[in-house]
Amino acid sequence: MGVYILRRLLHAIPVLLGVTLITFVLFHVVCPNAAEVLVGTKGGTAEEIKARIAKESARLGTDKPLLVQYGKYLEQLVNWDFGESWRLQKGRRVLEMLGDGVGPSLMLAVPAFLIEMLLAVCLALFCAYYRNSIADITTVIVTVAMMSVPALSYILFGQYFLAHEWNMFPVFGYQPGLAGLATLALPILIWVALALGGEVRFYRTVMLEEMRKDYVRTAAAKGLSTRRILFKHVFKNGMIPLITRVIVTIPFLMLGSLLIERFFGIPGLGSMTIDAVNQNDLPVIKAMVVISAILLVIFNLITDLCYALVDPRVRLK
Amino acid sequence: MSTAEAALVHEVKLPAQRRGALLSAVARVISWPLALLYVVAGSGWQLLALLARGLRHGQHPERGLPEGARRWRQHLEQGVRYLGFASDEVPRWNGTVRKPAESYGPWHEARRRIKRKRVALLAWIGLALYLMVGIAAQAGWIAQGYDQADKEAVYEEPGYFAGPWFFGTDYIGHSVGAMALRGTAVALWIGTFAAVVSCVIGSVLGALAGFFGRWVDDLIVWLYTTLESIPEILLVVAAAYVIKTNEGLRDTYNASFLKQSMGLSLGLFSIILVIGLTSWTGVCRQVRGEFIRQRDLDYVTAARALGVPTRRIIFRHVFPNVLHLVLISFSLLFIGAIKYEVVLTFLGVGVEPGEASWGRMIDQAKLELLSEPTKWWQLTAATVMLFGLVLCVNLFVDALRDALDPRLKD
Repeated sequence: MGVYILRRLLHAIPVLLGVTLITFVLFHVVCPNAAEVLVGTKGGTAEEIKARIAKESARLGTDKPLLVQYGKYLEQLVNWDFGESWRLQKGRRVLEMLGDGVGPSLMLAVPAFLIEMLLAVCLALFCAYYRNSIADITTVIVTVAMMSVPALSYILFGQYFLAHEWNMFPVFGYQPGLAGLATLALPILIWVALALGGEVRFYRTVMLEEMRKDYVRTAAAKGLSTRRILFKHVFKNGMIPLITRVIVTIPFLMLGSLLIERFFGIPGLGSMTIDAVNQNDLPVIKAMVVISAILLVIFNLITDLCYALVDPRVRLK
Repeated sequence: MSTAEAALVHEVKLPAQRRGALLSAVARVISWPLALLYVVAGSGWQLLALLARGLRHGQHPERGLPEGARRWRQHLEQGVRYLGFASDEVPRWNGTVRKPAESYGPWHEARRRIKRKRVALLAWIGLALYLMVGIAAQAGWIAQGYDQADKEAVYEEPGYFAGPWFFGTDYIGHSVGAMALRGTAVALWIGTFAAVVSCVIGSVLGALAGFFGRWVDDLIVWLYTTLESIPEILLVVAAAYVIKTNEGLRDTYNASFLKQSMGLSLGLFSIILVIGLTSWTGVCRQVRGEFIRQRDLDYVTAARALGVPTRRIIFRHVFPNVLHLVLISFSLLFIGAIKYEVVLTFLGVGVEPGEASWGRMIDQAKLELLSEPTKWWQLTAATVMLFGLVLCVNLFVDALRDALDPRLKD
């Protein structure tokens, strides 16, 4: 086990380096005009703007050779320094801003994810139990249909019908703490509706895969009832992909949902990203990409470790 | 015919097949534009191959001109027969046609299984309809006025006899119906191109990694693990943003032939490029896994022992055996690209003004529902069109996956 953990840890190092390389290429090579983006095109004559751009490039270091820039970039990363915001909250540390955004994002994402997963697993078990019956086929077709509606339409129609027309929920807004649950109910509902189709199908496939395995036949031959096989044997084995999925999803929960947060005015990381893209706030976009990638690498590592804990076959490889 | 024989014949006609007969006939009739495209493209390819063979004639007399000419003729004949509904044997892209006596392969089996599923046939009919609308819109037969704004007719309501405004108009007087139809063509372009780009990259890299192993494998696995470590939506947004802000790139692009002669705007191009370059990892992973399994099988060893060049083993011997994985990924990437287009356009990094795409329509309509009086038509039109296409592809992929899965043999 110790060797396994060590090997996985060593595997993560080149991936992390690769992430820094890709983000560097993306933001420093393909987008070489960071200073121009910062200065913009307004405010003064062309000469003044040019002088300001030159000054800013010297300050940001974008006039130096790429290798030096990459070194500086790595140094900043090691120091966990993402600079200051340019536009959104001018002059504020990006990390502080992101720290403020995590709370609202999690407030929306965690309950939504829990509800969605519980529902999905229950429906998947239901489908697996009554497989190939009318109920199963209907559920599958409905989930496919749910997956086919564009995300924006869910939000727009949901907001219109449930909140505006039928007055079941507040249309918009966010409050921290428990008082915010009333405003969060509709976003959570829409999140569940958005994700449910794909999840149900995923877990149903997992369960049906398991049910085709030899041990199920053995159990059936031994005389166990379908119910017992399904809930005791198949469900336990199906837990492995489930755990993986839950752990891998955690970083995405922190990132929040770009669209839902935006439409319901929730000040989470998702809506912050959209604002940053709209207002050309490069440091914020960069920090979001880099931090989420690092989170994902870490959580992938944790998934692998959990895998090894749950499934003894993995350790032997 | 004796009674026993008659009973046999009667038994052979399964009720399920008879029920599907009408649908399958409709599906076949409706897919003729696809067949026509296929036949035209295929015979064009054959013509090129014929010319190439003619040029190499001196070196390979046994694979020279007569062989090529025979294949081309076969391809044309088969295509004409297909169009005349005399046969449903579509010639393969390289012109070879299976003789009826030959054993039925997995693809034939898959097609037979798909034909028995009513849902799959319905989805196929839907796809063919979308394709027809797309081709017609691209050719300019329908939806001509999608980019003509009429200041006099702003926010017209849908009406049966409203002429070009049969589905209402938007905030500057574009016809919503025309835009929705035109959007079909745009969506098909985006989906197809993005999926082709990522499938080509993914399957070539996956094939190399799986077949050669060792450092090639390590490098490619590192590459896709790294790419997968960045959340796709953020990567897509960041990349599209970078393309948007880079003015040098924009100028270069506007001077290139893609803009000048094909009229593909930078917004569309960047969506295609970004999705194509970021979402190949899934295909790569699957193809690599299957190649690792296949490379030690006997037929590969046999081909190697016979001295077949490695390139040929990879692409002609092994690759057809993993093609089903690529096909399924292609369909899923196709949907993914169309859905991403909506999100990217909403974020302001996608399709540019002046182009009609479903994403743009949804983006424009985002405040129309909550305004007074409610203007529901633009959002509804785009949503329904997108929903239909994605639903058809989803249902068809499901059937395809089941049909291609050897474990589900009946």
